[in-house]
Order: sequence, then structure tokens, then C-alpha cells
Amino acid sequence: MLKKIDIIIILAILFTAVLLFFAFNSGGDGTEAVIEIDGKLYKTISLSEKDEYIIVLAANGIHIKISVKNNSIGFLQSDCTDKTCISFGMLSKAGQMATCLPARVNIRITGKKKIDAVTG
Amino acid sequence: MKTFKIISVILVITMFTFTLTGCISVNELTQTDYSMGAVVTQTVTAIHESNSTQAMQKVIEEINKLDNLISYRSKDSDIYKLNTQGFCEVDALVRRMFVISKGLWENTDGMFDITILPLVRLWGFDGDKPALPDKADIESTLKAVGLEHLNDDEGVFLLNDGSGVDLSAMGKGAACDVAVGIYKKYGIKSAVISVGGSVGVFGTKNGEPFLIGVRDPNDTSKIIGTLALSNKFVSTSGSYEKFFTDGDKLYHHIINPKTGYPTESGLISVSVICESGVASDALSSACFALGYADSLAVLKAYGAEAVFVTADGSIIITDGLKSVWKAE
Repeated sequence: MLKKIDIIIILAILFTAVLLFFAFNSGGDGTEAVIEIDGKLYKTISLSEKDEYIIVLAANGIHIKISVKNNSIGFLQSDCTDKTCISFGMLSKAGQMATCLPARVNIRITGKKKIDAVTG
Repeated sequence: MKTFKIISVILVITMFTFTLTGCISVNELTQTDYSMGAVVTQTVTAIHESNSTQAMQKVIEEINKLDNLISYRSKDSDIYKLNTQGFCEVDALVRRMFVISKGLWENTDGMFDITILPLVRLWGFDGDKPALPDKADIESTLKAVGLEHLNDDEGVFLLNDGSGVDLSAMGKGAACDVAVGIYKKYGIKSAVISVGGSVGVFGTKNGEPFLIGVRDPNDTSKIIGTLALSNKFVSTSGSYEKFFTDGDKLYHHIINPKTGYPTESGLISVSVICESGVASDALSSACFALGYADSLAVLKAYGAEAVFVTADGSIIITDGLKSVWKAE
């Protein structure tokens, strides 16, 4: 027969299991971004509410400013001709991606994805 | 006490299984490269990471090879040779693309035409500074456009003087086909490849379909909805991709081979879903030129489905997408 203490222990274990489950599975949803140059990792950025700064870089002869603020990241400015990169706006959801093609600079939000790719 | 011990052991085991399966999803790797003037992103899942890295490396090598075969810009390509010499014994892959494009040319009454290059050049859509050409120049250039200028002489393709072939309306889709072929060979569990706006989806995400977003043509930072796909290809053509304005008129890059001017079909974007990458890519251009009503028969002939976005912002999906489309 189960005693009171057994039930407490069982509940404690269950509680720990639930806690561990969430600890391992949270924090992956759009909290981190990677910047790649020529397809190689340049920087990993953690996105938080309080961080607000600008990353300045040059790649393939093109100067670029990337804005990090409000849990999101995006191209702010680029020397390139088409400015398509800026039109992608600020990214915050896992799986989102923006690219400056002439500079070969790519920003991706990592983590547990809701969307696996985008057509268009 | 014995019951308690058994229960405890079972609980502990369940607990660890739960936590572990939660954080270890089978090794998913992502790689970004540049080819065909576009970003190539691969996300591959395999039991062994080495399979994924080898497959992704092979894929980018083969896409580069394909680009060097079909790009009208690259001096060693079959298409460059054909365009400059007027003849070329083309690779089997190029021949296949010619065959597909001829079928589509016939099925669309000439609205999908790979001999569009002279017009693309006249408009400057092959470079950075497109501009409105003279009417007279458009009319004289139109004479060089039409698949009747390209002929197959027992494996050697012949092209009339002044004409030019441009396979860019189907190249990125063809690249997705190449990629999926390699994933199969390398024992990959599942993969998603995007080459510019063309996407190939191989396998499933642990039994569930992958979710592919369709870009909002009016705001490229957003999506208009998602498609739940497995083992399918999707490509999009839109007027927002490349355009310029002259006065208050917008001129986009998809030229009507009949009129020589950008197509005016009432659409701003079409995404086509089917079993072949090259067909999805070519069909998206064809449907963009044809407009909604005329596209339906062509889509049906190829077993394809589509998402249309009209100039007034309405989204129309074909019947086969009802269960996989989710508006944002």
C-alpha cells in the first residue's frame, strides 16, 4: 500500500520531471539569431528585450548596419544597390531569414521553428 | 513498499525519456551558401551528422555545376555557347529543361517562353539599371522571340541569329530537384532546401508536414500564410521581385513574350506547388503571365496547385490546397 510519504515522493518526482521538461524545451523560440557572411558563421546574437545596439560590418566590399532591439534583428542600412535586405524588416520569429545578396550577409533566427522555409 | 519501488523506477524512467526526447531531436543541421545569384539554404536531418554535411556539400557543388551549365552569363555554359555560336550539343539536364519548356510554351499559347532573353536585355532586367525602352526597339526585338527560333537537330540545338535563351525562370526549381535527388542517395531522413524563392521539401518533420511560408508581395517582411507540405516543391513568381518605376507607372521583370511589355494579368504573386521543382518554377512564371483564369487549365494539366495574390490584395487558392493552406 502507498503511504503518505510515497505519494509525496511520487508527486515530487513528477514535479521535477515537468520542471526539467520545460527547462530543456523553452528558451529556443526565437531568442537567438546568427549572422553569416559567405555562408560562414560570423556572430551569434542573443535577442532580448533590453538589448539595443547596432552592429557595423563590411562584407565583400559592402558596408552594412544591423539593428538589434526589442527581441528582434534586421538590416538597417546597406551600401548595396537593391536594398532588398532592408525590406525584410525586423525579424523575431524562429525560422525567419533576411539576406543582403550583394554582400552575402545572411541573418537567421534559430530555435524551435514554426516555419521551415519561405517561398517568394 | 515493493509497489512503491516499482512505481518510482517507472516514474524516473518516464521522466528521463520525456526530458531527453524533448531536447534531442535528431541532428538537424543548417547550411547557407550562394549560387545562381541567390541564397541557398539547406536544413537537413539524418541519423548521422556526417551524412548531412556530406549531402549538403554535394548539393551545393551540384547546384554550382548546374548554374555553370544553364546560366546565360557564364562563359562556359551550354546556354552561353548556344546564344553566341548559334548551336550547342547540350547536356542531358539542359535538354530536359528544353523539353519541359517546349511543353509549357505549347500549353500556354507561347506565354511561357525561354527565348525571352533579347527582351530581358532590352529592358535591362539582366543588370542593375532597367529602363523603359523605345517602342520601335521593342517591336523589332519581338521578332527574335519565340520557340520556333530554337530547333533540335539530333541532339544539337540550333538557335537563330539575334535570338537568346534564358533559363532563369526554371533554374532555381531545377536546383531543388537536383538537391532532393542527392538527399535520397545520401540516406537523409528529411530536408528542406530553398534556392531563392524556390523550395524543395523532402520527407516529413517527424511524421508531420513542413510549414512553408508564402511571402507577402506587399510587405516582404511578412507572410500571407503557410503551406503544410511533405515531398513537394513550391516556387513563387512576383512583380515585387524586380521592378522600376517611370513616371507613376511600375514596370516589373516578367515580360510578356507577345507584347514585349511587362505582363498585366492582374496578379502580383503566384506560388505553384507540384511534384517537380523545375515544373513548379516554370509554372509560377507561366501562371503569373497568364493570370488566374487562364492558369487553372494549365495547372490541372501538370497536377499542380497554386496560391494567387491579385493586384487588389485578394488571395485565391486552388481546391487541392484547402487542407494544407493556412492564412496568416
